[in-house]
Amino acid sequence: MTTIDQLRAGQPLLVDTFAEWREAARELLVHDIPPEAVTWGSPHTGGDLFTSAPPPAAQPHHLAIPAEPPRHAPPHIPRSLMDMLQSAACCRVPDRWAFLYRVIWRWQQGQHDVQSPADEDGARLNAMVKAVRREEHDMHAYIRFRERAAEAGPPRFVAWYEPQHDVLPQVAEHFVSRMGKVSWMIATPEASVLWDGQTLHNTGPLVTNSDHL
Amino acid sequence: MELKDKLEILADAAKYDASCASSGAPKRDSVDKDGLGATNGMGICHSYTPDGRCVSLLKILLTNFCIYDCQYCVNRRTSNVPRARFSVDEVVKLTQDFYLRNYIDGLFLSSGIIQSSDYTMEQLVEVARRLREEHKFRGYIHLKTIPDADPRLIELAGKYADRLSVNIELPTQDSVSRLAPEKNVQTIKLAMGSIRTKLDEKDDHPKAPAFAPAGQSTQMIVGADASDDQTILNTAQTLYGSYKLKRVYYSAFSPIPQSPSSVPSAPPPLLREHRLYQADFLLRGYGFTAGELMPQAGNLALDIDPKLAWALANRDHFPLDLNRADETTIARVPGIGLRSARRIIDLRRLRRIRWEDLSRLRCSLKKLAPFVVTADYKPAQGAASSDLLRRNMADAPQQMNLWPELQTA
Repeated sequence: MTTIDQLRAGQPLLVDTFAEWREAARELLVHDIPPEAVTWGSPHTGGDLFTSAPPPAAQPHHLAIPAEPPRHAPPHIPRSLMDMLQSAACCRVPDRWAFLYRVIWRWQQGQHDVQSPADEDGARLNAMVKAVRREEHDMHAYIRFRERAAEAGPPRFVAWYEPQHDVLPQVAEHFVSRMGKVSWMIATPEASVLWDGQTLHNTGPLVTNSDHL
Repeated sequence: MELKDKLEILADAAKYDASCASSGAPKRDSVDKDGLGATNGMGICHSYTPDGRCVSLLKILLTNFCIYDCQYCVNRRTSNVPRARFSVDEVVKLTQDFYLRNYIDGLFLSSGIIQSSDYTMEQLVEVARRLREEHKFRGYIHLKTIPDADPRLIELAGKYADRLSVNIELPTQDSVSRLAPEKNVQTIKLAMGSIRTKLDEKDDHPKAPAFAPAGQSTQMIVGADASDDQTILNTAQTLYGSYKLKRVYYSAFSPIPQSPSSVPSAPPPLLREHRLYQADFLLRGYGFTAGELMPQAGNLALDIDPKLAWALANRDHFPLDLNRADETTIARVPGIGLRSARRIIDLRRLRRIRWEDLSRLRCSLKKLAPFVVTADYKPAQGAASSDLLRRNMADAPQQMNLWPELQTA
């Protein structure tokens, strides 16, 4: 089902990653659909307080979508804004996808100051980018690896960390470039990554029981 | 002696070196390579010492034995401190172990002078060589350079290290010859000069072998002699100009156990070091000159920051129209930093700057109010005198310490 079909059916748009959001947002912009007409959610239901799906979209929304919406050329978004959006997408706030769409919609409407901290949305966008950057920095700085006994086999170093935002993928890249062929694992409550010396593996959450909180 | 005890002595002895920067190195990584380590140009503080200094590098002395007798230095030969010495192997292993555990971004290695300058420098270079060549270590390395070591050793140091530093020690030649009799300002400057020449050669021939890609820095001790801030800033400005230093570090003199009577018995106010760093940043980043910041002999004001002091003494430059002025001039307004100046210029391309924008950009409104004009704001007519402004904006005065001997006890 396309993004537009889902919208017509009054369903929330379920996205999990920045790439999925970007695809959906692109289609919405092409069809000139304003932020008020869209409800966003995450495919994860239950468990995670911050990304749980909102209730199904209120019915009146799909009335706002014309049967034959006008089609625009695919939008051109500057790299600097795209980078900020991608970074802000790692920020754990319940309305992140809706907020990002609001920003890109306003930019598309010609309100280019939406990128500036002097704008209300821009200030929030900048604050989200900053919060994510700070969390990446903290994880680079404060992860502590413990060495395991040689006879235990790989990974040689292990670390546990509880990040405030979804920054594990980019942080893992940092340690890939730093640790060479030494094997290591970083585990967080939501996910874990294992570097075997050559390849990075996403090893999922180590703790599947939700009691761990 | 246990390695742990050595580490305790030789890390403590190195804390008087202010620099812990690990920034400015070229991008390196260890993906699909033997060895260890990466640099990305930005430094990271991995932890903090109990007195608040950040730890980015394993900062140690190879040894705190020293044949010199610099009066301000805790490791001078007449000082009664416990001594220790690392072997080259020990430093190489410690660096890698700490790096793997993610305690550090690299190594800052300095040393007391043992046997001779050349011998000491050889040892320092050997640590860096082994890390780089035998262990393919790609983390950050900062080597302290002994000024009167053989220039060939300094060249070798630059081959392995990201940053080299030669300490200028004190702000004037006179103070150096009085307090550090075995050291010589001429020799120190020659060493800085030879490093600069090497850096310039590398700039002119990009394919030449690497030489200290993160440049050179130096350190000046503040408060061990009578030099005022005007002298210090002028010296710093000369050093930046003549030797293309990346940084001058100011280290507030701290009285050490059984200090000789040639140095003061009390440290300078900590705020003085802070104001010097602020002024230094204005020299490097904002295009101020030492003469603008300190037109007369004396020290920087402690109650207000140096940019505000300059603005209050130069009211004829203000108020400044933020919708017309260029970026460098905007950055001279108290309460507006380099980043905010950039953002004001960016925003100005879209619309006129209003007072509310300055609040959203988190500029210091209290500081900038008397100095700016925006589309909807200008300071009141018959603006307040600089004296009155200063009284309003000064940091809150502190209660005088009535019984200092009780506090030090």
